[in-house]
Amino acid sequence: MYGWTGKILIVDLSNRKVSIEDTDINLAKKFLGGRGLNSYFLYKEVKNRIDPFDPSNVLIFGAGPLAGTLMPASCRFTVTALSSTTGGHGDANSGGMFASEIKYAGFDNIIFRGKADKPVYLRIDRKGIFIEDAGELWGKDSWDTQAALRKKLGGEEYQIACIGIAGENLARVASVMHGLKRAAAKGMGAVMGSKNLKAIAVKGFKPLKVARSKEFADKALKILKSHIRGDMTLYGTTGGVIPEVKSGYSPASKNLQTTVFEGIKYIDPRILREKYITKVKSCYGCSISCGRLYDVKEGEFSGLDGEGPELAALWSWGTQPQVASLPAILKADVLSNRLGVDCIETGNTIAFAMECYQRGILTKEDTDGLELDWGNYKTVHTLIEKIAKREGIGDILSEGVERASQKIGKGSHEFAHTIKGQSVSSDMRVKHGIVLGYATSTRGADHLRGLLIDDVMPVEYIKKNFGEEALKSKGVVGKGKAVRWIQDITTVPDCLGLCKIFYILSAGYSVFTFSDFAEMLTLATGEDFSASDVELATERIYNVERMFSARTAGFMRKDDTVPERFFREPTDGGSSKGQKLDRDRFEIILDDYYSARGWDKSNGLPTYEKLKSIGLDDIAEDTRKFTDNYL
Amino acid sequence: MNDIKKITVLEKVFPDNCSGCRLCQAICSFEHEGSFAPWLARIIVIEKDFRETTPHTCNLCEEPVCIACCPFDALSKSSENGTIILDEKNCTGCGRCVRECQYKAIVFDDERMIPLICNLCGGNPKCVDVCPRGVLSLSNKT
Repeated sequence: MYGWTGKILIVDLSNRKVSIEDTDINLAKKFLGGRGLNSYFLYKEVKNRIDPFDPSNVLIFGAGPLAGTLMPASCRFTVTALSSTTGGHGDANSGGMFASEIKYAGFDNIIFRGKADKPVYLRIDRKGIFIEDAGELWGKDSWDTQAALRKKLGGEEYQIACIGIAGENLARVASVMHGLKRAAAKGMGAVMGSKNLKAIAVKGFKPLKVARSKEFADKALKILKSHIRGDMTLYGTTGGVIPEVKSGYSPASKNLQTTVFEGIKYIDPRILREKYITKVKSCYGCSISCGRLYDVKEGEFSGLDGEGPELAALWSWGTQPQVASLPAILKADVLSNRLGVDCIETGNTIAFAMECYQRGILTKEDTDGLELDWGNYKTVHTLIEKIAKREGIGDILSEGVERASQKIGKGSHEFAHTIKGQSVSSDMRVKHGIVLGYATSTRGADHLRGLLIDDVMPVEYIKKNFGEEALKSKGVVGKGKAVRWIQDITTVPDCLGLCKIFYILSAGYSVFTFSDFAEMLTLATGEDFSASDVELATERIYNVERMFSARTAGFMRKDDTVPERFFREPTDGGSSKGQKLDRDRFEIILDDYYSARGWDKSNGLPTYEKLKSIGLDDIAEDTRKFTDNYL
Repeated sequence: MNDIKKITVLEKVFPDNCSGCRLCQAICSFEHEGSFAPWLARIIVIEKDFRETTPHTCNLCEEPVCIACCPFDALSKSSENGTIILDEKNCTGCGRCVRECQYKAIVFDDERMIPLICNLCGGNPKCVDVCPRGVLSLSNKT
């Protein structure tokens, strides 16, 4: 096979056995690779409602058919499992140098089954595939783990994905970490920890071939030379905060109680760039290079260095807890990366706890004596550590917003902003267009896979295909189709092993089309892909993920909603002042979305006929069984 | 020999420092091997502590240590452009040239057991063309 390596590695941790299977070409054509194949495998491997930490859960790594090639930003891998936060479909995507290394090791996917009886790591190199003892790595943070492994294995060339101590302690907010800051979040680190799998160290040695190499290289170089975003290189994803600094309003403030944050001017990404950023740092094959290294040279955090921070980190450690200090934010960034917690879920959980404290639901007696007042960065830092260690109040908060609110009780659920158990990091009363994408994402609250955001959308495309109203923030007609289209197009890079920041977000959704991706796939794999083949594959993937979550978590129409607070309370500042969501309008656009997907409006699930029509016959048969059983 | 050109690694600052993207290695291996295999690239990107990265490639030395140290006379210098040429039939794969090169610019192919050294792609190095940060340039050797 070309593009795909043609092999899948199966690691049985319980019996400490590895085996290799061929990648089924028909499956690869149907689900493309990366996230797509992962999602199908997860559906086939986990059939019942189980505890996410049960050994029968699986942890799947997938690198798409373009990962590790010359295609710019072909650096992405997806980690998939039954989610430890939602109980439904869970996956997360990360960049760095790991996806390419999986491919160079000769694998499209790695599936971990079972649970090791004690801590282990997986090593893949020229000498073979080994499940090794990780006793001396256990207890180390993600940076020290990777450094220790490279030292032990004798090579800077080893690329490593691992968990920090948060994953070891089954903190549901834990991520799978790689490099200084690359993270596959959505609770994947906790599932990895539950398997006693500390790390995966890979040093590839198998050259990767594409089918029509000359044309493929021409296409790659053309994209490389034409898609340039100097602002992304300068500011990375934090550039998104510059408009917030200018307006003084942030959609992620004080656990979404307000959009006003007086201190935002002190966390200006332009100050970050001038004062702290030292070097650009890329993922594999990326010419935009949105990653940066930083260095704090003076003050309380003098000597601190790391990589990042991302937009989400500025929100999580800055605007959400109202911390108006860049060095304090960078300290939180380093802590979260080293300990291995997801900045979004962890930051939201801390902001949630702060609101509980503000309202007297939590007191100093509950918080180990900590004062959870807004802007208290020392508390933020201490809580990140406590969460990773599951220590004191951290034990409850390590569960994430949804479960923490259930444990705290006392009406705190009113301030727990979650969708299907995954927390929300942005106030959707500010930009109404994002509501439908958030409500219907297959992995719970999700800021990356379906957001209809007025100012980054290809205006003409939306107008032409879905009507002018689809583009309006409070429009109704055409919304369903437009969101479906965005969800599908954003699925493609996840499957191919490409970066969504490069191909979607920095390209405004419109530069790279289904036709472009089909051409890349055809040239890489030698299999003929049309634009509609690729679009159909993304539809299959969305349906598979949807059906998985229905089967394991019972997610249906009732769960396709957004936090109640957004319907009830208006926002307080900026151009969105006084706005709240309209329930009737929401239900109408939700109906419209189900129509666009061809799903049953009564329960929000794909119908038997729908699944058959897109070639998911096996899943269609399952539907009949489990809809009879418990839906 | 004054017009001999070599690949120079420019010392540049943010936002144009070497970002460690490895596109130079991807295209180098593609050019020479027909596949993507950064470990077979004739340009070596060395990463320090997961942070800074520096590309290393042949310095086209006046008196190349690699040639001098080779016990089997497998290496010679091109009179045309000053690059190092390997005579595979003489090479035993001892790896001494790799160890002795002070520029850390020679990679060892574990599969074929031979050193791989930059040949400037016939005067138009692909790595220079592809570097998105403009860190690599082809300039006169002085």
